[in-house]
Amino acid sequence: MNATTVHNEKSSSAVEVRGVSKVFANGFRALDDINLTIEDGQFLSIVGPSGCGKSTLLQIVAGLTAGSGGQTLVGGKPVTKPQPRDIAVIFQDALLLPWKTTLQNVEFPLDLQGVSAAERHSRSLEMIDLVGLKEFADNYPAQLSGGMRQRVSIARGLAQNPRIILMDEPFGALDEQTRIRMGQELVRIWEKSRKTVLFITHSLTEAIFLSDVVVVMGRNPGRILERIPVPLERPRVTDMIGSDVFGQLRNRIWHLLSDSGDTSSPAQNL
Amino acid sequence: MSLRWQIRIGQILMVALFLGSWELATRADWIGIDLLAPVSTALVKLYEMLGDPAFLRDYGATAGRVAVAFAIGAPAALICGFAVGEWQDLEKISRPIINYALSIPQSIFLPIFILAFGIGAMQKIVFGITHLFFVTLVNTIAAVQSIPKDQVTALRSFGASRWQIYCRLYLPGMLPLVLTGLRLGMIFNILGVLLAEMYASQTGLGKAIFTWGESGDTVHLTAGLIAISVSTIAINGLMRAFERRAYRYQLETRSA
Repeated sequence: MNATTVHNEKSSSAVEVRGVSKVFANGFRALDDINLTIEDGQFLSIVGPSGCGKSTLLQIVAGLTAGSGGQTLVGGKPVTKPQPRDIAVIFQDALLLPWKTTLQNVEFPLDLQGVSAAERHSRSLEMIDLVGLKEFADNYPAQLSGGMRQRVSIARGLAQNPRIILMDEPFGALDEQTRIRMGQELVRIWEKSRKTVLFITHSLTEAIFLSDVVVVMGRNPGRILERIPVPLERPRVTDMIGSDVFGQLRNRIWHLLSDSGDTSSPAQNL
Repeated sequence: MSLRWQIRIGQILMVALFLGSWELATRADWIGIDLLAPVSTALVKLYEMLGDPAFLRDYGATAGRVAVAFAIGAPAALICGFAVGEWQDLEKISRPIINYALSIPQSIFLPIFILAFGIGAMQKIVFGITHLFFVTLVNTIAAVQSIPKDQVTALRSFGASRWQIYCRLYLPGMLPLVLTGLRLGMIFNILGVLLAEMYASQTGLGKAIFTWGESGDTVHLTAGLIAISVSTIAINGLMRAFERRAYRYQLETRSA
């Protein structure tokens, strides 16, 4: 499917990015005429080299940064500021408050939104249980490992009960083993909750394993090269990573990234 | 017996050793009475002085000046520090002057302070404020800058208002460093006030110990030094206790 025809898709989409561009004050064109649709309940990943504007795009969809042109619609309405009831953002770092326990951290966004104590308590405990940290509800972040902290941050996003979750390289700061395990966890959680997910990553394997659709971006200027559906069935299991379909998909994306004239760090994208 | 108690007993023994050597050295006249009074004599004198209106007046004068200087200087330093820390351009502009101010020994300006403010309470208070201001300012700036920008972005994504970001993120996040700044500021404040009193004053503990020293009255002098030391140790200890509470989540971490 061609990127420029994407905005003609049917209107059941959760997120619609229409002709969005971003030019920074120094003249750098981070994003150029981005068109992207994410269907309701879809898991969509964006891969691309550093500097292709994928994080900027996520920030624009999140309402944390304004684009220089174009429009972003969430649930049919233009995004101009953060919308915590519809959108949860999970960042590369867990960004937990060090003086709050796991439970208090997960409750925090709900607390800010004025959700009643009883409700935020039960919602938070449920999500902490879902990410497997029930015994650590009363621990402080510094008492948790990096992977556990990121799971708290995911629980915090889920507890907001958003329709859309935006994830900006959430496992980028973790070691390889933890990263793979977290990916499996995320697939399991997502297959249960069926939220709409926009997932940004450097890892092609991660992108293919998790997603319904992988969007490949190039840089200078930041643009969409191709939108690639992933034909693997669900539930996803780790054995699929060794399959032919998986390998072919990864090769195809790999070539897209290499042929786009970006030879910055292709090896790191594997 | 636990290691903690062994250390505690060791600490008590060290203090006892210090006081014992002091007592012995002065009693045996290794250190003459013209320099230092025995600790026991000084403590008896101090007990007497607690009923002496002149001493109490001096103590009250100094304590009052320190308190007023803190009440004015601390909020001023906190407000300025927050502004400088939060607005980068302001930080860049004021960074050199703050650094210079910190590297100059402030005592050299005392003669100018006397010319400007006389030798009354006002001069001591102003001198206390200037001593306190910069150290508290620098700690407050550091406290603001210790708040990660990504953390602010995360709170914005939760829908936090600017006010909520300040109250729920900045305030608790800054608290430990701010308390450290206030405690150091208080130490400098006391230093400034006592220094100003010793240099030129009619009243105050600084003036009192200086006069006792000049007249060779080491019993009063030693008693006065003990009174000041115990008071400052108490203030420091109290402020430190608040600081430890603020750092508790980190301390708990370490013990876990």
